[in-house]
Amino acid sequence: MKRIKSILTISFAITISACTDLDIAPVNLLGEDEIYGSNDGVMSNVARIYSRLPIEDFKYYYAATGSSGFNYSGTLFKQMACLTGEAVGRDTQGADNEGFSYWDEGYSEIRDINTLLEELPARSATISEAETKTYLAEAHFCRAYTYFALAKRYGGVPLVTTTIEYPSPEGIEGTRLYRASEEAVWDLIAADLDNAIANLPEASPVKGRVNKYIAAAFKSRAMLYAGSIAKYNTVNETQDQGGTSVQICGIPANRANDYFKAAYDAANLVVASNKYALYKGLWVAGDAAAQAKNFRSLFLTETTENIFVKYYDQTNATHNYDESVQPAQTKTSGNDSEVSPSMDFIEMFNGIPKDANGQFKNRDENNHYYLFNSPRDAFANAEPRLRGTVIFPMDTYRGQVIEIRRGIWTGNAGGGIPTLANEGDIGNVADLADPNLKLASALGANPDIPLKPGDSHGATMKAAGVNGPVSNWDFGNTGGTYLAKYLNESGVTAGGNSTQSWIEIRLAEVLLNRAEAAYELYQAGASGDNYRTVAYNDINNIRERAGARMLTGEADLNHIDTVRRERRKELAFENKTYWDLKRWRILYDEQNNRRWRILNPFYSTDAQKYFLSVKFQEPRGGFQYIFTFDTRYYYQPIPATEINKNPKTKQNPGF
Amino acid sequence: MKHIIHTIVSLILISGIAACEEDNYRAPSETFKGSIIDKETQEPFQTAVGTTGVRIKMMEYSWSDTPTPYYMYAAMDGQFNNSKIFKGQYGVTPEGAFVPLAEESLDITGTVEKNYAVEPFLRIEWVGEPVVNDNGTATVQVKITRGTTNPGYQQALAEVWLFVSETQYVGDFSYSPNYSTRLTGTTLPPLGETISITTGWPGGIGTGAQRSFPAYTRKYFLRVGARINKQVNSTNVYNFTTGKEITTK
Repeated sequence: MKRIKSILTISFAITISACTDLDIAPVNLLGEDEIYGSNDGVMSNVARIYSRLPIEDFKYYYAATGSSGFNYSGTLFKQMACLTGEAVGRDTQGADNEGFSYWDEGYSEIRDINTLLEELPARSATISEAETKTYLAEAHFCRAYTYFALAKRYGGVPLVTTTIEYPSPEGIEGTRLYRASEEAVWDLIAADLDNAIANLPEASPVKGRVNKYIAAAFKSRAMLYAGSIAKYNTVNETQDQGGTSVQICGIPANRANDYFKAAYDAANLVVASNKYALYKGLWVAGDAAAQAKNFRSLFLTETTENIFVKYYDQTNATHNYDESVQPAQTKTSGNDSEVSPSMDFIEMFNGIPKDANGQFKNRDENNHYYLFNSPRDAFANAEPRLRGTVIFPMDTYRGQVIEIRRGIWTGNAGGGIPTLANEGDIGNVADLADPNLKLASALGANPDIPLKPGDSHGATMKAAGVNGPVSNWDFGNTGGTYLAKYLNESGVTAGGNSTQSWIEIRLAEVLLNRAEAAYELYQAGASGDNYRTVAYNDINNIRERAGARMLTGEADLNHIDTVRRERRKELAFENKTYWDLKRWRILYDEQNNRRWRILNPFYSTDAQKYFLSVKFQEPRGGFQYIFTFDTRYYYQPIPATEINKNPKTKQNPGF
Repeated sequence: MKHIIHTIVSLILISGIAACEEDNYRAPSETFKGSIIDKETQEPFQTAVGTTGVRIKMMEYSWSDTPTPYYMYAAMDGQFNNSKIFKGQYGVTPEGAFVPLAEESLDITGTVEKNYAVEPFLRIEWVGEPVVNDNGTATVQVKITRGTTNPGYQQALAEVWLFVSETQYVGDFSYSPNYSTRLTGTTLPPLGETISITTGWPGGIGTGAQRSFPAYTRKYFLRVGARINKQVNSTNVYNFTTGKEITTK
């Protein structure tokens, strides 16, 4: 017992003597000294800021319901292009709005940027002056980029330009900010980008980082957006903020020309640098096939047209684009066919037969279908840019003829093939009681239809080809076409192994930004430049590369729709059009009880030729595919949880 | 050992019971009801149900200076009735397809009934009864006039719909995308004249083919809605006729 006592005494003594002050920095956390004390530290922080930029690329999933739809793993089903009418998709079933709210994520990004802006100058001793200058300018660019993502969604948002102490000296109240006016947010974006333009180097220090012209190119986009809001928005929401009335939604109309001019000047800066050029590596004058190939390869090649690129590679980051969009025919496993360019999109282009209403002309004056050896023949003379954007039925992709067929018609074609009962109309083809129509109910129930003896296609033919479309809910094609833009020509597609890089800004967009801003300025009678001449030249440069019909003279450019339509054709499927439709405030006009039109190729066993039926996207799986945009969403709702946290935040109207 | 466990368990249970205290805020039980009526005709104000209809905004100022707005919605005939309102002082503003009303302070205790006379943007009246045609369509006649002389609400007509629904709930919030008819752009009718609208042009007259009702006989409900180029809370809001029922041939 005595021994135990002495052991205990000794133990206690040891324990007490072991007590030293434990107030040391944890070794598993990096503090501000580590981050801002070395070039490597700052670089890793800046890389983190870049990686969280709200870029709507292959990994942007608008329908995400969690905390974020950016850098989303598995953007497989709903695709943003299908919200614009450019395309139909099996899983984009209506005019959805963003499923997540970009707010918290944006402000944590802004906080990191603001911290960098404050900490870095204070520690400039360890990092060279030139590098510090670049880092700070990059931070301004990233902050503008983030506020742009907020402003285009919500209008005016709280302007945070410093690191807010938390808890604030004034208590929780000190962290509760009012929403700034929408105008003030756009002006901050302009100021941040001016700072970036003034302080960034001529060339990016490393590929993927920004330079002076990237900031200018982005400014042309942002200011065009602001100008459009000032001109076309009709929602003017104000809030009484302690006696001051602040316009949280909407910009005074008299600012429109300021913003258009800023967009115009910024675009000029990019163009005048002569650092970028429209890609024409494979382009041959007068050769439509080469021009189409050129346009297609633009998106899979590192070219001088690329201004700001988000890079993907097998080691660091991959995405699911091919898996989502690829034809059923070329897939090894996974998903397919989520984006099928619509006839509404295809009809925007020249070089296809059209009727008086500008719609695809598929029948003669006796209402008999035109017949083709191959459905692709109907589009043989289409504008090369369209051929570079869309895979038409029986086009070749990855060395395979992509067989898209809605069905086989076995009737007598002697007197011409009469119009199907629901041509141009609503409904599933399977609902037609036409005994001559042979369809597939599913890809796994795709009957072999006997052909006439001597048919060059063989003795039998699958009713719905390899890709469909089929009548029931299944994988496979839904609109008669596939998307070619950005689709990889080789490599693994399954399991999220796509590595093509996302071109966030390319010169064509900057030219179109300039053309649009210039035309708006011309319309407003602004002085300072020959705005219409500039717009005319920009449009024609784009058209020449596209292989499109040129504007014959400046007088041809007499409506803003000419500029807008060019933009929609050139930048289709690049996740820009949705926001364009929003800023022009025409999304509701386009999408009000709207169904998109699709192409249904049928093979006639008697004529041994194809005919092309056009109708509205067919209802499948109980979905009607009707699109009606809710006008409230021109300004999206601020998440209720944020309003609970900060009651000074006034909700956008209608929510 | 068993003794110790018993003691511990008893202590936990005792402390658990001691923590029980009634902490429930009393459920709301006051009633706020009433109706929206057309100031001139004194008829019930016809509206949509939900966000595009009449929304009554209630700001509970007795709770906070900056309360989260509480919204309640009126029925298709402009009536509203909510029997689960917290007792208190409210700023109440009905919003809809009519000239805006000023916020009014109301003390809600017991049952409060309130009727609002409003000036609708448009007034749409039936002229005669709907006619069911032999070709599987139906034709209605209506007259659309301005409901107010307020100069701020004289915007041009933007859209007119003959809404057709399989249920009695018919309007922009619930309509058949096959049998309804939408008038817009050049097909918009003039104001103040009797106009005819036929069913079956959901994408606008001349877009696609006219849709006819199915071959079998069944009931449909019709209502005409129209809106001017003026949004309320960023929302397109319609004025409506009453609903009418037809039986197809």
